[in-house]
Amino acid sequence: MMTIPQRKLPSQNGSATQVVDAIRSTLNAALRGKREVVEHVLACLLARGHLLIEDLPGLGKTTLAKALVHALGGKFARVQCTPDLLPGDITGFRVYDQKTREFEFLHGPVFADVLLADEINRATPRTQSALLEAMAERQVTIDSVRHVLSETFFVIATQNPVEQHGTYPLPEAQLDRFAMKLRIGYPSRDDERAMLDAAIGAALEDQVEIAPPLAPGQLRALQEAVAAVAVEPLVRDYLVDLGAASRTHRQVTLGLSPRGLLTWQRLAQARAFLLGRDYTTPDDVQDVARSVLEVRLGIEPEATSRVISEILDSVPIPVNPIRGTEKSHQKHK
Amino acid sequence: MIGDAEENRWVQAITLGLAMLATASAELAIAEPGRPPGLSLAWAALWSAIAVVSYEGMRQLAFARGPVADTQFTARRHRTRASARPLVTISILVVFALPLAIEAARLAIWGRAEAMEIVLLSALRNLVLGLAVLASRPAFTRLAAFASLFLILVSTSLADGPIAIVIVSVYAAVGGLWLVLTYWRGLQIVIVADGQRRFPLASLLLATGLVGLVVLIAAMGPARVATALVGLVPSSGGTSWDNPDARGGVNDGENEAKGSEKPQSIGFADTDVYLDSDRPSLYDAFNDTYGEPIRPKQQNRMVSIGNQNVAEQRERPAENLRAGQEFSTVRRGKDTANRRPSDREAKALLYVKGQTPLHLGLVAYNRFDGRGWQEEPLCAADCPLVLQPDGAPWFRINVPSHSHYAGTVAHQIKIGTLDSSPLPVPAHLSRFRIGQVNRRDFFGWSHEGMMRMIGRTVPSSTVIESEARVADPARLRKLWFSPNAHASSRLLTVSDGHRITPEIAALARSWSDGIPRGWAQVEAVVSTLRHHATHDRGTTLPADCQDVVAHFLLQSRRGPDYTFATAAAVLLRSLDYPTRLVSGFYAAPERYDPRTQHTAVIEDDVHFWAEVRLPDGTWITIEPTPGYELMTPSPPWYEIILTTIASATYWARSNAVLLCVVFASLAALICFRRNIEDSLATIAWRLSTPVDTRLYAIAALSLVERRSSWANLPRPMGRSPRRWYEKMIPPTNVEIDDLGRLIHLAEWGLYAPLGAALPKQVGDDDPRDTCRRAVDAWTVRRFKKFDRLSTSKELVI
Repeated sequence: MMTIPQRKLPSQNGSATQVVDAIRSTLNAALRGKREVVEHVLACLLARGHLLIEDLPGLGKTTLAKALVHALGGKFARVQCTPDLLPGDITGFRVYDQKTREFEFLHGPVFADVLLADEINRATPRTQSALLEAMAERQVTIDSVRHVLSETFFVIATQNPVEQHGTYPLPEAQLDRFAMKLRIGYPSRDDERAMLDAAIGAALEDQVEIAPPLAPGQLRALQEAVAAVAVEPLVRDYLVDLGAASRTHRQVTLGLSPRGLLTWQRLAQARAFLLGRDYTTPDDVQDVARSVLEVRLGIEPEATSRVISEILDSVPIPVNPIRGTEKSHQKHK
Repeated sequence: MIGDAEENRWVQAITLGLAMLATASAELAIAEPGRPPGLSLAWAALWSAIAVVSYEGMRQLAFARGPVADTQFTARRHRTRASARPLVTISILVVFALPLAIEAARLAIWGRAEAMEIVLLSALRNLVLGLAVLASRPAFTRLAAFASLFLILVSTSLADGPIAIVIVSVYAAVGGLWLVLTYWRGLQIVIVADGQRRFPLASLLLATGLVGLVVLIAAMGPARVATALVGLVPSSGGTSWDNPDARGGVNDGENEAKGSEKPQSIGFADTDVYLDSDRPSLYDAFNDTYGEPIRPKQQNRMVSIGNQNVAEQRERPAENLRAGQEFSTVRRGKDTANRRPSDREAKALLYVKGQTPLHLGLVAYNRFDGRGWQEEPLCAADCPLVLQPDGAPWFRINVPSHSHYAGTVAHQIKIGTLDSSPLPVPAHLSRFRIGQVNRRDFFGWSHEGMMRMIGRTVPSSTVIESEARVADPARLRKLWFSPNAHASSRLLTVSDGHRITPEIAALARSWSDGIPRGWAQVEAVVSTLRHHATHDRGTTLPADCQDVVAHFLLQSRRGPDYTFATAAAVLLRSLDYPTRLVSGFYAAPERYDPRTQHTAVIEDDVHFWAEVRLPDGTWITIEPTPGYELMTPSPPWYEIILTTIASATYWARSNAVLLCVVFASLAALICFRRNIEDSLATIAWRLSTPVDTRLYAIAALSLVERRSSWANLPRPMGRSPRRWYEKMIPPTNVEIDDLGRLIHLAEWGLYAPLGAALPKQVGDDDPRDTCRRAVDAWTVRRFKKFDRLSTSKELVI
C-alpha cells in the first residue's frame, strides 16, 4: 500500500481546528441556515480553489463573499463586472508619470488576496479571459512583465442565472478554473424570520466589523495541511473511475478534465480535513461531487442533477481492500 | 461503466422474441418432410426455453455481481468484465460450432451426416439464441436482431406451409417494434431529458409496415429473391461433397427420386398425373379399363424436356420404389451433366408405415389332414363395401362393430415387389383407400375378413391406406363362449380324416385346466405353447410324419412358426374353439427404419399364425410363435396418466418416510436458506480472525452487508455503507450505535494510510469488540424488520 509521507496533521493541532471553527461561525452568522453551503465554501477555500456562486439576486451571494473576506482578513478587492469593463481594469496598467518621466505600473484588483468579481457573466469574454491566467497560475503578465499575485489569491465570482440580456456565458476554459459552483437557495422559513428579527434596529448591516480570525500566513498553512490529507489508492482509483464515467456518459458532451480531477481530489481532502479526518473517504468525494461537476461538465442545465446522480451511482464504492491493493501494485510496477 | 449500460428491458425481451421466432422458422425449415409442424414448434419452444432460462441466469449473475451485493472493487468488476468478454465470445462460438462438430462426429462414426444446410441452420439458430441470451448489452442486442433477420429470411425461403408465413408476419410486426424501440430509446437518451414520454404510435406502425414489407417480399415475393437468399446457405448438393439425402443444392442426393432429373421416372403414386412406365401399375389397369385420364395443362410445362433428354428416352425410365420418399412435382432445371438413370429397386416386398408389429394376412387355411392345410375356398359372400361420399375414394367395410375392439389404427402399406391378388391389409379393416380407385367391383373377400383385388394382382408402387380396428384382449376375456356351441360346426368336421389324438386333447385340457371357458382359456393355451417349444426356422419334420402336431408337441418340441400355428389351431379345436391357419406377412418392429419412417417387410417376414373365431363370427388373431407379438391397442392418454399416477403413488407410499424426510429437509432448506447461509458466513467470519484489525473490521462490515442484502435491502453500488446504513440506525443512536462505529472502523481500515490513528468516533473500546457487537446486533432479522417498517423506496430516494 502506498503511504504518503506523514506530516504533522493539522487536525491534531488544536489551533487549526479553532481557526476553521472561527471562520465557519463567521460565515454562518452572515448566511443563516446554510451550513452545507458554508462547508463547501470552506472546502473550496482550503483547497485553494476559486468559487463561482450562481443564484438569483438577493439570496446573499455578495454577503457571503464579503463575510468570507472579513473572515480571512488580508486585502480585498471587488470588481463590478459590466460590458465596458476592460482587462486592464482587472489586472492593472502602466501610466506615464509626468514627474518621474517614467511608466509606472498601477496594480489592478487582482493583486488583492480576495477578489470578488460580481456578476462576472456581464463582462465581455475579453475581460473574462484576463482572469484566466490570474486564477490558474496566480500571476499576471502585463507588457511581457510577469507579476506574481498573492499566494492565497482567491476569486469569488457571482453570476445571475436568470438574466440573459447583455450577458456573456463563461467559456468552458474559464469555468474549469473554478473549483466549484455553488447555489445558495432560499433560506428556510425559520431562518427568514430570524433574519427579519435581526434586521430590526440595525441601521447599517454592512457596518459590522469583526476582527479577522486568521493571522497572516495562517491560511497558507491550512491549505498545506489540507494537501497533506491522505488519499489511499482505493479512493484515488475511485476518483479515476468517476472521471472516466463522466467522460463516457451519453448525455455529457464535455467530460471531466484531468485538472478537474485534481481539483476534485483536493476538495475531497479539504472536506475530510473539515470533518476532522486525516484520510479521505469516498463519502468526501461524493460530498463535493455535485459542486465540482456542475461547474465543468457539459450537460444540459435541466438534466445536470440527474446526470451527476447517474454518474455517481454507476461507479461502485470501493469496499474490498485486497483488490485495490493488487491493482495499485500493478500500477506502480 | 456507462458505456456498458444495460439495454432497455423491453428491447431485450423483444430481441429474445425475435430470436425465438427465427428459431421456430428454422426448426420448420430443418424438419424432415412430413414431420408435423407442431413437433417443430415444440422443438423451437424447447430451444427458446433454454435460451430464456440462460438469459435469466445471466441477468441474475450480473445482478449478483453488479449493483446489489457489490462487495467488490471497481477494478475487479472491470477486470472480470474484460476477462469475461473473450469467454462470452468463445462460448458463443462453441454453441455455434456445436452442430458442425456433432455432424463431423456423426460422419466419422456412422459415415452418415445430416444435410449441410440443416447443420448450418442449426448452427445459425444456436448463434441467434446465444446472442439473444446476451441481449442485455446493446451491441449483442443488435447483433442478435440482425442475425435473427438473416436466419428467418433464409429459413422461410427453405420452409413452406402456412405456419412459416404466419411466423414471418409475426416477425415483421415484432421486428418493427424492435426498430422503433431501439431508435426511440436512442432519441430519449439524447433529447428528452425527463418526462414527456409519448409513445410513437405513428412511427411504430410505419416501421412495422416497412419491415413487414421487406420480409414478405423476400419470403413470398418473386421466387428469385428467395432463391438468392437460399444461395447464401451452402447446400448439401455441393460440388465436392455428396450426400444421399440432399434435398436442394446443385444436385439432389441419390436417395432422392431420380425423377428430379428424369421426369419420366415414377415413384410411389398417390395421384395419376405421372407419365407411363413399362411396368404395369394399378393406374395402367385403370387406364386400360377407363381410358387415359385427362391431364392438367400445367403438366406440359412441368415436364418440358430438352433435346438431350429426348434422345435418351429410349432407355427404360428409372423407378424409385423405395418407401418413405415422395415424388416431387416441383422440378428444377435440367442438369447438363446427365447421369445414367438407374432403377432403385424396392428392397422389400412391401413397406408399412404405422404401428407395428402388424400381421398382414393373405391366405387362410381351414382343412387340416394331419400333414397339411388346405386353403379356405374363396368367400362367396358379397363384400359390403361402401364408397364414402366425401372427395377421396375411401371404401368403408360395413361390418358391425363389436364390443371387443379397442380403437382403430391407421396404416400405409406400400407395395414393393410383392405380386399378389389378396390385399396385404391388417385384419378387422374398417376402411381403406387405394389412390383414386373408386370402383367397388375391383374388390372382394378372398376369405372371411380378408380383402383381394378381383381378377388382378396388386401392382407394385401402389399405396394402400387402411384403417383397422384392434381387438382388445381385456375385452375379449369378458366375452361369453357357449360350451360346445361349435361342436357341430363344419370347421371341426372338415378335418379330412384327421382325428385329434387323445394325448393332444389331454395336453390341451391340462393346459387350460381350471380356467373357465372363454378367451382366457385360449390365451392360457397359447401362452403355454409359446413356452412349451422352441422356435427354430431350420427344423424340418421327418418326411414320414403322419401327425405333425403330436410329433411337434410330444417329441421334438422344436419347429418353425407354422408348426406352432398348426399346434395352436389343433389344440384349440380339441377344446371346441373354431380355428384356422393364416399365412401372410409379419411387419416386425425391428425392421423399422427411422430415417424413412417405414417398416420394411422382406421375404423372410413370411409368417404363419392362427385365428380363433368368436361367437359373433369375427376372426381374432392369436400368435403362438415365440418371438412374434400381437399388436396391442395403445392405451388412451387418460389411462397412461392414471397408470403413471398410480405407480407414482405406489412408489411414494412404499417410500413414505424417506419422501417425508426429503421434503421436510428441502422445505426447511428453502425456508431457512438465508439463516443457514448467514450462520455459515458468520461462522466463517468468526473462524477467520485476521491479525490485522483493519481486515477484521472490513470482513465484519462485509458480513453485515451480506445480511442486509439477504433482507432485501442491498446497498446500491454507488452509495457508501455509511450513507446506506445510517438511515437504518435510529437517528438518536447514530454516533453510539455499533454499526455506526463498525462503519467508521471499516472506513478507517479501507481508506486510512497505515499508521493512522483510529477514528475518534469509535470510542475507547477494543475495535474487535465493536465489530463483534455490531455483527451480533445487526442480524438478518433486524434488517428485515427495518424493511417491513419503512418501504425500501424511501431508502432509495
